[in-house]
Amino acid sequence: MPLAASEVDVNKQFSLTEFLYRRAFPFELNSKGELVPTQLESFSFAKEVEGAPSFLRGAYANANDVVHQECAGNKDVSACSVFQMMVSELPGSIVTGDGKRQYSLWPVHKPLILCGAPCVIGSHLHDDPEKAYAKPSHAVVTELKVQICTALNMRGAVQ
Amino acid sequence: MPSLLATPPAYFDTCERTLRSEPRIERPKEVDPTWLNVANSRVLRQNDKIETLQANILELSLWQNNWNGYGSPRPSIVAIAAARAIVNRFQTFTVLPEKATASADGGVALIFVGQDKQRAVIESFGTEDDYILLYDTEGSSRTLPWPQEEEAQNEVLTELQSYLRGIQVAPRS
Repeated sequence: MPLAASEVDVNKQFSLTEFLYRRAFPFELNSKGELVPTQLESFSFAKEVEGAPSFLRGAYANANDVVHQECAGNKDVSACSVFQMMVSELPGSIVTGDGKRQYSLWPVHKPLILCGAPCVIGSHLHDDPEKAYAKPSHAVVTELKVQICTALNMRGAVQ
Repeated sequence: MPSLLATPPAYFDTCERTLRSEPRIERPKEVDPTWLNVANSRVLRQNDKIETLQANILELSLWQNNWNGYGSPRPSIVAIAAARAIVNRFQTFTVLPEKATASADGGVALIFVGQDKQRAVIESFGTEDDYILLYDTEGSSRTLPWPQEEEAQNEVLTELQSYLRGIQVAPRS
């Protein structure tokens, strides 16, 4: 049973070895069983961080929680596969095509009432001490998604 | 007085001549080998797969919002129409998407798997944001915008085909 929002500490730091879990339906995978980058939501890069790929953080969830209805908006996701990656496997930094800007990613804890573990992946300009949310080009967004999928696919589906 | 006219052939004579003719022997018909497996020809198989993909894409119009439990919108009608048009462009190519599905951002994803570590996906929204993503299993990637002109579309599809066959080098990251 997933932990509720009242049972988690949103201020708890993410550790580098903490797992991030993501589910996918069979129709979202290619014939090799790999998650395809288009199946991750794009980073909205608005002021609110919600428009970004969503994961469950390992500090408050396990692989079983990912396919629980309360962590999927009451949708039946029992047929899904579960992929995992460690926080340290998030792309370190990505440089824009013109080489002028560099982006990094960081996880942001965004609990739901009945499922306290969800987090999203935010993006900021590299070396920005304020971690201000910044909008990269479409090519950078796509590359971020490819690198996240690569990290998830390296370990394969765990469930 | 005997007649000088030749005796008209009797009916049995006609039959005799007919019988004397070479009996028809059933010989095996020689068929052009290229037609032997016509039902399995590449062109027909390609057309069948395209029809299947078209039907799969059309079914996406029945999907609901939040189809993945992550709040993703269902594919728009415009995205579905655009994806069907893109699939039609593959009639003259030897590669085909192995799957068509909804993408997390409300578009349609046409998924390709190459010979080795080459992968590709076309994401269609029916807007100028449509693109082809060439990537590999090691995290390298390159994005090609989906052009509006047919000739330019052929060029990017040729590039896609070469990439999936492993002819082209890994994409620049």
